Amino acid sequence: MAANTLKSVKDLVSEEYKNVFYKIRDVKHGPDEILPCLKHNASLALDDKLERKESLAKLNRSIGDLETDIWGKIYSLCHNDDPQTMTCLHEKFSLSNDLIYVIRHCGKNQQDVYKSLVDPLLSSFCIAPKLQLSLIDRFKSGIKALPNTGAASVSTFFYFWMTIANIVNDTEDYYGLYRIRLGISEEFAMIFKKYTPAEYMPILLASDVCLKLRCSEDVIASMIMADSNSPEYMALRQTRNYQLFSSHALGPASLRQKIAHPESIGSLVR
Amino acid sequence: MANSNTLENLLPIRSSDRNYAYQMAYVLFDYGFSDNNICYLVNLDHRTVAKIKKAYINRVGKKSSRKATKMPYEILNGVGGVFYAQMVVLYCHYHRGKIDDALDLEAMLLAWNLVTIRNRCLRNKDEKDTPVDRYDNAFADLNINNLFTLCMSLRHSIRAINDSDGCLIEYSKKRQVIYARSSMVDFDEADLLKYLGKPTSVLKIKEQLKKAEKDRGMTTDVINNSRPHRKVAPLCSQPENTSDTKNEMVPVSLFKLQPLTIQAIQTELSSENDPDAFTKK
Repeated sequence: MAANTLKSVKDLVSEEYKNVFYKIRDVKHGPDEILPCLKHNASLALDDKLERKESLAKLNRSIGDLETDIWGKIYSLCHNDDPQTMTCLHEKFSLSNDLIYVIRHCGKNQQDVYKSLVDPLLSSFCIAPKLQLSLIDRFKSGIKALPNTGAASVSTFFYFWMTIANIVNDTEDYYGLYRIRLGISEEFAMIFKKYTPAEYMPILLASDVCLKLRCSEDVIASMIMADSNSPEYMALRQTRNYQLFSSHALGPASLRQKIAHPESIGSLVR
Repeated sequence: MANSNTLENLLPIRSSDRNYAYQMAYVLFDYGFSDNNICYLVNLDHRTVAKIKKAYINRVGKKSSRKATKMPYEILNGVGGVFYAQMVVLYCHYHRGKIDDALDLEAMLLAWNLVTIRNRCLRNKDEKDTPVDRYDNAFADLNINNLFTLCMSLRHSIRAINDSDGCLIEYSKKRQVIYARSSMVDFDEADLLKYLGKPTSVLKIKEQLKKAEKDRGMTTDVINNSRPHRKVAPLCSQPENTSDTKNEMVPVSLFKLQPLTIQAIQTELSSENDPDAFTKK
């Protein structure tokens, strides 16, 4: 009886909501109810040739290459018996001992790990926020000549920074998707737009690169251990998608900052 | 979809403003918007929209299917809700103004494209070993009109009249995700999240692997002899508190996410170092 009552209340609410919704939707809207479209050459709503929609569907191969490169390096380092590689994994990739152990002992070969983890659309790692901030400050203080760096450090991260630059400067990225694809801020991306490679590369190569996972290690470890053909794996991928989209918004700390009406968010406000 | 079907070939041009409306209506028909929703979005009368639709169908040969309008609770309360919730989060992020005041069609289309393209790529039906999973049917049934309804329900004008069913944005501390859910009273906060994968703790996986190795009689390897390292929280997480299973709620539908700024990063950095930052003012 109670379930039937609830169902009928739900139907009633739904019916009432529909009436409200239809009333608002079926009347011509005022000038401020819908934001104006973007300029004709950038608008999706005026994209009559569907070129911009297709550009969104175009896979950026650089991200897939970047992902493959990073996970390949991590896999190799995890299977290296040299204790110094642990330092590299901790400092460069911010990985915990637990995840390193799982990658090392998961029993999967490198190709299987790629299959589980490589994402051609969204990078699993981002440049650590602290590094982004320090580089932004560094460029703001002016570009000065730097001492020559060793050949080894030049080659190690040169490809990495060039790939980042290519993704940011992709001429077909009309909507600034590099931010969500790479997990970088607009101010940081301006480094690659404002300066030439000859100007930014020496500074970037001289910096201590540190990457950070954009999703939780639990999800990564679970995805590695799951059968990539199983429904559980597909469900974990959705969780990863969510976390990547959420980390793009920086999570609850910054969410609190950006909320338009803080007086209505209840327990979050102190 | 034939890309050469530009509007000049379909309808006569009457004025520059009307031309934009006609052009937009054409594009929106391609996305699958219903007649009524297009009338609202482009501010044209039903008769004109019907003419555009007829010309579009004649040229493209695409049949339109009429589906009843669903309300937020129905849209979000199902496996497909996983995708709609992602879209709403992205819509909020890319919205160029105040979410509670105005609808941003560009943000809506961008969010729609990002999620559908992403999931289509992950599926890639041409591959033989692509698994059929519970998301497939839901993905195939995605309807942009449902996203339209959710985005409209974020607006204050609708919620002020009837706030019993609408779209809320919340943060799940347990799953470390921002997601959208219906504000219906009996909508369980885990109803959407139950369709997401439940990751096993990396520590637990490690222990399982260690146990398996021990059973096989393998020796302790170099990992255990390395120096201890503080576990670094990923960008989206908060300090762990496994005893607290209650999700952190943001019971509000009205906020705008702005592009990353220095201030936002600084706030994130200060909260990384302060385990209690999330509960503080």
